[in-house]
Amino acid sequence: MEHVTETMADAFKVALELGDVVLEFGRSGEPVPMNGERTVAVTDHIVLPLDTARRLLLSLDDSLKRYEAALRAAEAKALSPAEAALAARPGQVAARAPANAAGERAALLLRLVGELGVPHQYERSFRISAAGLLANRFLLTVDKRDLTGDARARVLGICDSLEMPHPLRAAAEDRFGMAGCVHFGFEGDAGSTICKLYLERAVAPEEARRARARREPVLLHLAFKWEIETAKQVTTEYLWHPALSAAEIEGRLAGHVYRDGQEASLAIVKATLALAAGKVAAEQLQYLEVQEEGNGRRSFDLNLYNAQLQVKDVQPLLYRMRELYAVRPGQFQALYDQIKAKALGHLAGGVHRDGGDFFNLYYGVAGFPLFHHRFG
Amino acid sequence: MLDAATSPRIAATAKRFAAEDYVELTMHFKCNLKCTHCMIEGTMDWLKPESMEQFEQILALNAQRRQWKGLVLTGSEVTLRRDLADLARRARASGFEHVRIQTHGMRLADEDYAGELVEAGVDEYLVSVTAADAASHDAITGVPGSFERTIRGLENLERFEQVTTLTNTVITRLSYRQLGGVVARLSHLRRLAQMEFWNYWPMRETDDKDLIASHLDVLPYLREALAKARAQGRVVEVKNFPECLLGEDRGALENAQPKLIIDPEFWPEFMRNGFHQCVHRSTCGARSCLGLNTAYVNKYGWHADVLVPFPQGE
Repeated sequence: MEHVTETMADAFKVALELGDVVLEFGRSGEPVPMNGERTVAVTDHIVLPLDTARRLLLSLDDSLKRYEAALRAAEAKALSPAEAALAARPGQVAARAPANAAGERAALLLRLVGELGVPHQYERSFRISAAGLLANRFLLTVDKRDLTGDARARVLGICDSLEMPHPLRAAAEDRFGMAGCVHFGFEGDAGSTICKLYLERAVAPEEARRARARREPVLLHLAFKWEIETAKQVTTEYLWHPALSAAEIEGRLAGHVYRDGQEASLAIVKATLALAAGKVAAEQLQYLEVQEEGNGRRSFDLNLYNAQLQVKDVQPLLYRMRELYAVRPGQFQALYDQIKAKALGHLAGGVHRDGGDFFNLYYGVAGFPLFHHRFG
Repeated sequence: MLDAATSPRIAATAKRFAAEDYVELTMHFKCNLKCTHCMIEGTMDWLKPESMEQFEQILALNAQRRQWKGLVLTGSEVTLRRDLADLARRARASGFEHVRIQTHGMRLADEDYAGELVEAGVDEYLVSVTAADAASHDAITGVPGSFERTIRGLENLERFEQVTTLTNTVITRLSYRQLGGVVARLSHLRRLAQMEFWNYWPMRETDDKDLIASHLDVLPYLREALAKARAQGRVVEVKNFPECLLGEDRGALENAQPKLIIDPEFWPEFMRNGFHQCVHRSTCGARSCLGLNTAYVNKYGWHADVLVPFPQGE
């Protein structure tokens, strides 16, 4: 062995010639500037009988097996953490926390509405009440005119995917013709997922003027709501009182919505109304009252977008809500800090169907492409 | 009229040390502290440090490609390596503009040793400060006197003009109330350029040591600390905290890490954290948020009541 010289090779070629296996080893040179190809200087030309080549193959395979883990580790260094984890321990999957059912369904609704392929609008909200703070709530709005084909079937198909109970579906199908817009609503919290389909009428100006003249409301939305887990269902009417003055709105709040007391809540709404009415005539705010057959729901929804306020403009009032319902300050602050610069949308509140006092605050409506030209 | 949402103002965060400018080599897996929050506790015995051959390869690669400006020498406590100064010297000679060590800083309390490292070319020091006072820090590290030595180490580095220091404070149930205090305690350090706050992750599916603090509890203390540090002219970085919860401080979130050269057996352990979980994960437009991890969700739930998704494409 004394005449053997050690050479390094980083390239090889295998060929079969006249029944023998020919191995060539060499070193690759620098890339050629013209085409980037590398040339190889062959340093060794070895001819092996076929049997010897077979033994070499087996021997190489055995040898490499011993270093398999080390080779895998070396290769894994170039991978991303997730790929390296899989390469280091194949078949081992990282444990995940049990899925959040409400989160999965929210994602499903967002996906299904997105797949309609039409412009839509996205508005988030939170509810604050004695039950706590719930913020995984949103509305998705679609203009029915944008829906090609059978709009009724496409909208109800989404409701089917979210397990809309049959009687409610039949009622929604029956009334679908009234809709100018449809809104898909979602509320998810631990153990409960409530989905909603709102049908919104396009109220003609003349109808609104007549209603105003007669001091009567007009039906604006009809909402079909269901809880997935229990299949509980309810139909909700949203009645618009067109062009009320601030005093008239206050009168309806005190005399109808909060007629059983709830002074603290009434004071919060009145303060919000005063703030908004300081920015724009109250007649340009949209005041709705909400009722449901078969329960004592008596609530309002005051659309504040025209006042062009931000959530932070009502911060003291939000803190009063937080104190009223004894919501943990840190929990509320975490949410507030995220949304304070969003546009203030609408404030809803009053007596819910369970008899409890509540507020819902909608904020930060965002339009997806091509939407604002219709809703602007 | 429906208004489009307005974006919250984001506190400006200068990025002085971009992760992509650094490569991190784990050169040592021994430590003389017993920090309760140690993320490689239990793996130090069997993770293999990088070989000198690998070290040389990185140096050669970078000399050829100039891919990274800085080399980070880390592992558990890299100052326990006797040849650390030599490694730094070789790295600088090969062309690295910066050599950083990640350390608890205790050995730097020795002025001669600190001087030796600086002279060898270590010009950046990422020092772990776990709490604002000696009693709390020593209780976390398990070694009496460790706080005083770490602080003295940082102070010793003040002598050297070419040195930049950074600190890292791990946020746990034991430390979160002291984050602002840490900033105040280090306010005298002129070379301290960046303060990092790493929210603890347990490297497993459950919080066996009961160290994870609720994000909602941490939030006010963290934001106070960020404000204080910024007021002192420090760059701030937060890791592993939901981006949406940080509000105007979301710019401080920096989950990017330098390219880490480590025993690949580390990654299956790391992946047990199960990052990127959130009820909004399918719809949120946040790009750098790690979401919640498995142990966090198992302990505190999904926080669906406070997490708010960012618009897609923001």
